[in-house]
Amino acid sequence: MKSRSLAAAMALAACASLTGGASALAAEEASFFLGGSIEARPFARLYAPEGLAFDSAEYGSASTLSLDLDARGPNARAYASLEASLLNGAAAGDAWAAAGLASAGVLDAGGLLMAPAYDLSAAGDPPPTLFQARVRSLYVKLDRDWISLIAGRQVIKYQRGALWSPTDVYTELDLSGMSPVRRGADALRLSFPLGATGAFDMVAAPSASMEEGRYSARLSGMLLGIDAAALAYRDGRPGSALSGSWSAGAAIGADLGLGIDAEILASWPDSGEAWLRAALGADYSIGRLVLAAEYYYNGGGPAADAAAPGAHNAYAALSWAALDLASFAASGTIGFSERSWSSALSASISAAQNAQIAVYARLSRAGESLPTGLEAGASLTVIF
Amino acid sequence: MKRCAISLMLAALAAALAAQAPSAQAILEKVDRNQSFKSIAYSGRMEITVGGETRYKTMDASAMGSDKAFVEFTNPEDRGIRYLKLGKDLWIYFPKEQDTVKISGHLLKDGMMGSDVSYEDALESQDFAEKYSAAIKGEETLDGRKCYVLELASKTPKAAYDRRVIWIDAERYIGLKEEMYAKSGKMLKESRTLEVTKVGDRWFVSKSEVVSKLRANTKTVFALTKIALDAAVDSKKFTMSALTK
Repeated sequence: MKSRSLAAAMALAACASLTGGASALAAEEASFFLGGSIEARPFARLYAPEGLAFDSAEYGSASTLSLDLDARGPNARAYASLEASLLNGAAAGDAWAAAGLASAGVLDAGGLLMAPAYDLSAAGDPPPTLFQARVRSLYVKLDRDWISLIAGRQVIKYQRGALWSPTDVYTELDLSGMSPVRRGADALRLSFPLGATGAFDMVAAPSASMEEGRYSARLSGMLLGIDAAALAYRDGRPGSALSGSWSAGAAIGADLGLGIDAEILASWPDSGEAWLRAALGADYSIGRLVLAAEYYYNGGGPAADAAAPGAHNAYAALSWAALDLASFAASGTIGFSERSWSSALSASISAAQNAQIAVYARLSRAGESLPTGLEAGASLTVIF
Repeated sequence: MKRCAISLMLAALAAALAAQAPSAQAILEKVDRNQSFKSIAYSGRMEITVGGETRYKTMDASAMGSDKAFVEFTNPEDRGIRYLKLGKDLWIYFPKEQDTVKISGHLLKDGMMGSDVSYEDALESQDFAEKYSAAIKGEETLDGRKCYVLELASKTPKAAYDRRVIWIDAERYIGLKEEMYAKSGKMLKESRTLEVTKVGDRWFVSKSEVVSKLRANTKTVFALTKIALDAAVDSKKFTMSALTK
């Protein structure tokens, strides 16, 4: 009932504040932009049941066309980010598995899968080739001096830390590509600017019913050089990690030569015990070298965070812009409780104007009794 | 006869004084009248050459004094990436991820988007007379133009460089060549003016070449178009809400 009231209040506030916006917009100069990219990414995966004795392999490739459409006026914006991919081999298998999980309500594949002459509803091996279409973002935004409203599919990012961010409650990552991509949430977002650096932000992401939606209010700004935020969050989705829970969180970040950030989120499920999640991170740069490290405590177990189910986790990363047109990165995570780990190396180079080549390798093990996986691949991206 | 000779001598002395170069401080003030601004808005294009490879980046930028600046990149690779500078704080907005990242103040001295031009070079009003004390090193002819060679020493930590040597066009009072030095005496950058534009009633450097001496085989040609000096800039542009708009 409280959730419904919050959503209704937000909608009313939006209507009231934006009345008259259309006439102002008509008089203003508009701009339109269409751009995008094409990326081709072949990769190989090796598996070792024990140690590094790899005894099986699979291969795949993904070719993706991304299109961004952006129409802007000083007080309004419409934006769409669309993606179409041809997936082969292991890439098709990944999408197939994600779609299977989606039907079970665990993971939202966030796309449309098509395989001509193949029965997608049939159980069994994935088709060797899949066509996948995804809507990454599709929203309209209206701005007045003291308020802005975004409605539609949008990325809502509250993250402060480098990897783990307990207060980044709307983020779901798509891990199918070379690097994680944030999935958009279908939501209504109202933001009230407070001075030059502050904002009061309210989000409503209703689901099948108002009770099953997600709702939040967040206050953020800079105080005495410290970047601070406080969050209240309600998650009513059935079957989700924070299903039927209220949460309250805070985040701070400061630059003391050493960049420091800290976040904490306490959650109270409608039934069951409360839990706490917290992250503490630091980053430092020496010339072209950037170092980052983070500790993450997950007191809610797999239900609170399936990607880092153990209580104690650590992350370290290094990025180095060694050459003017090339950069290198290395990172590693450890889950101390379940003895999981992962490491990644990547390099990218600007091959030509608007063209990037990247290579990467990831070595990981999700748990003590699970096989070790090695994935290596390359990508060529042309931006237009 | 004696009175007449004295009068002639005084007249000659006055003429000589008039023909003498103005003081360093006077030159600096004339340069400031051309290039310092309360606000600026422009479209920029950077051609960054590394080895034999050249990449370009385009942007729309606006700034108020030394404290507030806003940049939006418009080339395909970086389209929609925005910078907001408030004092010594700098935020970068990445549109694809709808992500805002705050970066440390010392990065203001780094090259903007991998170029040889720092954020301070591109976005701050120079205000030489306020930040530097000056001395005339001499006069030279550069590209066929008579120049005063001035040596500037910083008198405030707000100054972007500890020492600068500038070849100033004696007629138009703009820098045609400049060397920027660190406290250690090491040359950090060298710049050459390639084009000068008249904006209203003043001369303004609209195209320059900057070479960072800390990088090997690089140079950046920075060209400004649609320059508007001291025009009204909406102060709401320099806010976090404008950054993510």
